[in-house]
Amino acid sequence: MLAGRTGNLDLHTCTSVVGYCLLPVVIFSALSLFLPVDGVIRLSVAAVFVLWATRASAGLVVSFADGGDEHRGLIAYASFLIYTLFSLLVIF
Amino acid sequence: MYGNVGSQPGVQQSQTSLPPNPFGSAFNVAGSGLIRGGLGAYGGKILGSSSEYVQSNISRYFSDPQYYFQVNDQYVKNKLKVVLLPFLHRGHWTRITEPVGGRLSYKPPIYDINAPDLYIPLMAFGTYVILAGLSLGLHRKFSPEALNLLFIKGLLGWFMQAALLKVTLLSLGSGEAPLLDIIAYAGYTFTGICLAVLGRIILGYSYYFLMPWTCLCMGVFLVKTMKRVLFAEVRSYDSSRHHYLLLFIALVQFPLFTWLGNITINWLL
Repeated sequence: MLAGRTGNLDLHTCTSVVGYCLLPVVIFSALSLFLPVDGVIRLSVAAVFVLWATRASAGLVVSFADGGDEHRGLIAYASFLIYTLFSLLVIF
Repeated sequence: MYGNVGSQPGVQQSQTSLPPNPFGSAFNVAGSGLIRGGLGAYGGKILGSSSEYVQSNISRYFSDPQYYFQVNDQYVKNKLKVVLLPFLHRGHWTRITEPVGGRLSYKPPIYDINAPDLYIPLMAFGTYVILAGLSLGLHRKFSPEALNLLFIKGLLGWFMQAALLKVTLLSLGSGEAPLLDIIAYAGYTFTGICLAVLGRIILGYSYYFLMPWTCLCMGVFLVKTMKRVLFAEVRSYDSSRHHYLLLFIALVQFPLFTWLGNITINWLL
């Protein structure tokens, strides 16, 4: 999100996009109620959902921001960190 | 009847999502707090200074904190290489300057590999917290309180690193480096620490190789960078004193890295 500050992206748009893309993490939270406590399975499922959320978030931000294509990798990494943090709280 | 049953799981999901929010907010607050604090410091400096040269420099940075976020993929890739493998940086360490309206100013990071930025430090700090949480989780010790504690520990380490660089520059007669520059340089520390912690998660014993290596690389990087900052600011030159203090910066990296890299529930360890 920080890299997008050079464009026309404002705080409300960022917050909105991050909030929408939390939905995959929410689905993962519900799903984890039925998953076994085995570490490997949970980590794998978490990775899938985090990548899903990251991809969606990066796509949305790039479409909103001017010149976003140049910063796609940077934006994706920031999103990845946020959703991984939420997933940590679900996994453990 | 069916609609009623449907709304119940929705409520549960909503409740499940609420607890994580404080940590997300903590990240944003910390990030903006850093920038705001820096700007406050610049404001104080402006009021206290009457020098034309200093004022122009400070107003330059005061008016443009986004200077530090003008980055792209290529810059980040190259900068990470410079930070993690400073020996292989064959080019010069001097920042590129350009005359703007009769004054000398630096090119933004997107055009100059040697310019500091705040994107990499912030992302490295976030990665450090998440890797720490992951490491704790794999050892069955994870809890939100532990994550919060590690967050504060990381901030404290960042502050200590920035204070070290600032004090060193001041004692060498150069206090004019912008505060955000110092914060950015100090933040690169987390890049090496993340690498070491990641190595430990993947393969336990690689930590004992990666930690000294990243300490050494960060020490070399900081010495090269600080030397260039000094030469850009200091008119007089005292060779032995400069070298000893720069060496001191490199040596302090080892205990700092060890402290930050040791992820436990205990505060001091």
